[in-house]
Amino acid sequence: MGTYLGFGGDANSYGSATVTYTYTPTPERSSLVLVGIGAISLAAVARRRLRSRAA
Amino acid sequence: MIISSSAPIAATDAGGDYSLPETTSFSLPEFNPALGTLTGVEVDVTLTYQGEVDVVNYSEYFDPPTGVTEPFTNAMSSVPIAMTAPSGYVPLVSAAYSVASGSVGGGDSASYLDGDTTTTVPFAESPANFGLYEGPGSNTYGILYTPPDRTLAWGRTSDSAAMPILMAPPR
Repeated sequence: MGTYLGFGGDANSYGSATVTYTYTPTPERSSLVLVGIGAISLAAVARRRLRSRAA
Repeated sequence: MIISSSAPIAATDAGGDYSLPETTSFSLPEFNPALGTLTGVEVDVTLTYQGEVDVVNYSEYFDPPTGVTEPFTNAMSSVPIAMTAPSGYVPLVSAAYSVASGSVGGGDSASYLDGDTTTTVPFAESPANFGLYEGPGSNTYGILYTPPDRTLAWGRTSDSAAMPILMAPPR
């Protein structure tokens, strides 16, 4: 029984692929300039208050 | 932030049947590092696949030819399908199919084709390989049926000890 049989296999496929990148954005130059201006302004205000207290 | 791109995967056949190629490739764009710092790379592959079992009766090739019809039980095949990503092989699915019983006439062969199965397999790249996905161009990916770390399997489970196992699909 079954002396003459051989067995094989095959497969086929198709589809689609999606790549998803998650990232932390690089800060824009204009944002850096605004942050810098803000920091300088805060320092100026703090200096003014210290002077007014000392006077 | 998130950015995504998609590409179709062309139809292929492990045995190259019906004029389909045995392998295929597709391209997906790389990440532009000017946008920022990569924190994750995921490739989602949606694959529709079919497994196939082939049974052939060799009785006509014996001397003298017998031409007898032979029954079989539990014929099965399992063909792994993998993707080649920029960092290496990515196992996706195994196109497996089995046929409980049947019979094949002398000198004939029979092919049994499974129905369509569709599944989405996610692959998350490790941070150490993020650099392979950065650049101004695109990456090439491939679909393989015989990746080196996997093996094809076919035969029948009930009385396979008495049977030769084919090393290639019958045509």
